[in-house]
Amino acid sequence: MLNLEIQPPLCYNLSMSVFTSLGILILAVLISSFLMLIPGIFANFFHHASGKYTRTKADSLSLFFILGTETMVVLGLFLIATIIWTLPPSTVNLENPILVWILAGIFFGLSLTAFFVYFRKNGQLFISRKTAATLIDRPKSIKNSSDAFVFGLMSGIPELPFTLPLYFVSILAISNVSLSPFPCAGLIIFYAILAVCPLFATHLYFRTGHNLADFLRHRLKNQTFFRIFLGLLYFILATLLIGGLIL
Amino acid sequence: MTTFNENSLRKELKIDARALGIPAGAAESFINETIKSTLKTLKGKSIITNNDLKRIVYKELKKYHADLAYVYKNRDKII
Repeated sequence: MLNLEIQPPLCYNLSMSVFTSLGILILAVLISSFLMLIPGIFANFFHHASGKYTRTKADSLSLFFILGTETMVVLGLFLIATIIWTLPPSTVNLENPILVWILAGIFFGLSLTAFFVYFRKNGQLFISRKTAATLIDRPKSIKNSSDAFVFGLMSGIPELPFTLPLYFVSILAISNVSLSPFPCAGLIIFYAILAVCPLFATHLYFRTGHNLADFLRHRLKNQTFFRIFLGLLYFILATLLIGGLIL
Repeated sequence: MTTFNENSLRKELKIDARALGIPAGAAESFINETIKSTLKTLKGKSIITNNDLKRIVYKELKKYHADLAYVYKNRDKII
């Protein structure tokens, strides 16, 4: 009988420093928490829900929005993990120089993109104005939990060019850190929870007496800082990948 | 091109006001004043750009509530 059980082969026999992998993971989580699109969509959504519904319903809708976003992150991570774990471990790992240089190139590119393109001059984000208008107007027609869940699920899609490479490198790092499939899956879920923490923080921000005007003012005031910091984090991640290869 | 709709503007401002925690009575009163002044400014104009309309409403709203005016003006900058 054939045994077709898929196991994460990268969880074994790799000598890349665990500390480098942990550094990559921490940086990936940090970058995820500095990406602005989903918290912006959530802030607008929550503002609209609080203006239209009771406090309880607004909280319930925002919880379903966050669950939708979390589902999208988990799906994305496990999809990439499945692809990576079914490929030969000798080709897809953080010790393969070709793969590492490609990833480093992508992150250098994202570093420049984050610095020059992520924020526009007038404070808007990088996505097309038509998509932004749709995302801003969509909360007006959300009435129930399933709508909120689907909206949360879809809201991460425009930011995938910035998040997918992070997911990819995180899975490789997680595979390097843990020693068996179970901690790998656990670490992926832990990473996914950390990735949506900014949404909980945004919710808390609103529930502690702040409003959308404060959120917008804060974002516009610190835009240059976010731009530099995000670009810098992507740059450090690329450097760390190459450093891990050399050391 | 879209047609200016007083009711949709009123509805949108009411939702924003409630979300910002402005008491309903006060919000109602200054939204009415804002729309009245806006309509007065628009009198005689058959076409106006969205940006101009936004600027007029912002200018009026700012007299009554700075946060509401700010949210109305900068809503599209959130994404």
